Amino acid sequence: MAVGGALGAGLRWAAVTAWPAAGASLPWAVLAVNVVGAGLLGLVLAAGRRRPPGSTAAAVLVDGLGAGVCGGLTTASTVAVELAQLIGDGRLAAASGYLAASIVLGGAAVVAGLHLGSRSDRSTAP
Amino acid sequence: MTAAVFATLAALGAVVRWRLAGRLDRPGGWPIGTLAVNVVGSAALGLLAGSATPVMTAVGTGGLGALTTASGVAAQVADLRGRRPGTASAYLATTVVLSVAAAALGLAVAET
Repeated sequence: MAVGGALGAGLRWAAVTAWPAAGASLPWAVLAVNVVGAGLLGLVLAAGRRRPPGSTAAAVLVDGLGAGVCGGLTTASTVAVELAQLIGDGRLAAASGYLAASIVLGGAAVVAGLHLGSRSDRSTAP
Repeated sequence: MTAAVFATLAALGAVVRWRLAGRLDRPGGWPIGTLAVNVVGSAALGLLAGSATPVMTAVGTGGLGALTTASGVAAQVADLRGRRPGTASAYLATTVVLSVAAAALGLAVAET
């Protein structure tokens, strides 16, 4: 789980470094990792629920990949600080758009992940 | 050097979040542990504003970034939505309002 957290955070760092928020632009890299991480979390949670509770496979999926990698990959504190800065700069439209995009896209991604994860598991289950 | 500190703090942040969520998040109810780490992490990241880049990378992006989570909130809201829609909306709104307020507070303190 700890390794997963470090791995996820490392991937986020790489994404933010490769795709920095240029001055007036919105932090697209953070939005992207949060949406991708939410989709992945939906997938691994759905897969984890198909495994016996307490089994190693369920723990690896839910705790290691889910809480670890996806939890470490995505971040709320950066979004909160960016929103506070946008609001402080009087850029209310940008703040609202960024917040709405984070919530709507993140929510849609996790729902899609849960749906796909449970469906693909059903089709492969013996 | 920064990479090693980054990985250590990120692992630590993720473990603290996981332990608190496991202890305080109520199944089918309010995920108090996740809410707490997100609010505290947001305030701490605001406080770090203006720090040197290595500190910001290791502590901010690594430690506090991994301590807080957006995918966890999305999954919790999606989970609650089906059974307790009111709780799901209230939890999401509380997370956003308290985290942004905490970040603003941290930024304000950092500027003084």
